[in-house]
This record gives sequence, structure tokens and C-alpha cells, in this order.
Amino acid sequence: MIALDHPWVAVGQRRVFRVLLDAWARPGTVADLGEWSGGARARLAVLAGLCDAATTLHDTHGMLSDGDRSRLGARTAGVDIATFVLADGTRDPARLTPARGTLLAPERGATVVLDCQAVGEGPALRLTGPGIDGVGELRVLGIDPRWWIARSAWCAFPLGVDLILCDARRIACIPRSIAMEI
Amino acid sequence: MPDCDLALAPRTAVIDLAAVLSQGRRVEHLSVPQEGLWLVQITEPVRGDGWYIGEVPVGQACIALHDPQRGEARGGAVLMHADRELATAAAVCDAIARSGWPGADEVARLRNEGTAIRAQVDGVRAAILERTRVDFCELGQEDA
Repeated sequence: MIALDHPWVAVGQRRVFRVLLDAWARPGTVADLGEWSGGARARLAVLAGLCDAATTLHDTHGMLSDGDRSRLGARTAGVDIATFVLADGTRDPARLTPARGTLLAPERGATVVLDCQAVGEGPALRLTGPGIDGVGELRVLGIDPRWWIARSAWCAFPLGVDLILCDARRIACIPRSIAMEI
Repeated sequence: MPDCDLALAPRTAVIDLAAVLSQGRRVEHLSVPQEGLWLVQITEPVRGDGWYIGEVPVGQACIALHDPQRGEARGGAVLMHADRELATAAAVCDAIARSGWPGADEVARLRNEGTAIRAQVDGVRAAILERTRVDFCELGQEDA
């Protein structure tokens, strides 16, 4: 058998999806995807678990190799209409305008997969909102603070974008419904 | 010789041959192999609307074979079997056949086996079809 490795194995992708569901339900909690990423950064495991031929993807900073791009199967789309947007969190988000959805179709707001230096380490963000008991804390290292300004401009619930922060192994989710303080 | 004849060759023979041909080489999946039901869509000619005529089981794979000396060879397969392992093996054979690397003769031999099986199946089907033939002209004469 000429086998595939993680993150392209279906059983691993299902586990990643399960972890993502939990992470969405508990914003700011840090989850480890190292077991299913096959040595790649967590962003690839996240995209492999979410993307297929029915989805669209915008690789803002050209972070995916041609092979990974092909294996993901998602169609390439402009940043303003893509279902998933991959971006480098260390770079300025200026001129990035992901889909925010509409009042009739808020689900069309993009999910932004943001690669950063470390999730669970570094300066703390204070999070409040659905899924958080009181005030939550998420530490993120190596991210341009202008991303938080951009996010506040994009999000006006139910419109907005959902963030998945990724480092080498770990992820954390910040849905659009969450209020955030630096 | 149609590529599809490889799909009619014995499954284990295709998989075993692909395993031999990929020894010492790296198999890179260019897309994630898939298996399942394919909704066959056609476009009707009047209004141009799409509609589904049915489902067929499909397995598909697309690979690149990396050889330390010879470089890269690419191959793909879409088979009417919901079997991604077989599709991957067929894609490896396809890469070897297209590139003409050593082993292409073995792939050709397997295709010949598939061709023979196809001819046999076509013959059986033709015989079944022949038994269902109705000569309406003769029926009309009997009625008269």
C-alpha cells in the first residue's frame, strides 16, 4: 500500500475537525494538533481538516507549497470572497479585506487561519463572550498587533471573521462573537 | 491501447506491480486519493440546465514518482471502482508507462490482460444482448 501521511489521512483529519469544534466551543483554549500534522505546522493540519473541493481558499502570503495547495483541493479565490484565508500573522494585514458575510448570510464570513510564532505563550489577550466563563485569557506570541485592530474593524456580530491562531503544533480559536482586549 | 484496460486487470496484480515499481522511489500524492460515488451530471440541450443521470463508484489518484537518477514522472487514474488503493497503484503504473521507465513493459503486459478481459466481457454482453433482439418486421408478418 502506497500510504499517505498526516495531515492527509482521513482519520487524522476527523480528529483535527473534532479538536476544532471543541476549540470553537471554548474560545481561547489552546489545543495541540502535533499528533496529526505529520511534522508540518499546525496551519496545514487545520486547512487539511477544513478544506475540500467545495471550499475556496486565499493564500495571502504564499505560505503553501504547490504540492500542499494541490492536495488541499480547495479552489483559489480572491480574499474578499474566499471561505478560508491563510495569512502570516507577523505581517501587516493592511489592505486585507476578508469576507464578513451579510445580515442575510452571516455564515459567509471568512475563517482566517493566522500563522504566528507561538500560541499559549507571550502577551495575554483578555476574551469575553459565548463559551467563556467570565473572562478568558489567551497568550499569543509573534503577531503584528495591527491584526487585532483589523479584527475589531471586521467584526460586528453577526458579521465578521473567525480567527484560528496557529503555531508549529498548537491552535486557538477566536470566533467573531468574542470581545477582545489587549 | 486504452488506459482504462488497466482497470480491468486483476486488482492484486496492479497493486503488486505498483509496489515493485515504486521501490527505491518516492511517491508524492499530488492530490489526496479519493473514493466514493460520483454524481454524473449532464447538461440538457434545450435550456442548458444540468441534471444528474445517476451515480457511479469512482476512485481517483494523481501522483508524482521521484527517482534519484531519472527524475520525476507523473501519472493519474480515475477508475470506476470505489477503491483508492487501486487508483493509486494504477496512477503509479500510468506514470511508469508514460515516462517509459523500466517496468513499462510490465505495465503494458497488465494492460493486455485487461484488454483480454474486456474482450471476454464484451463477448458475454453481446451474447446476452443478442438473445433480447426482437424483429418487429417478423412480428408484423405473424399478425397478418
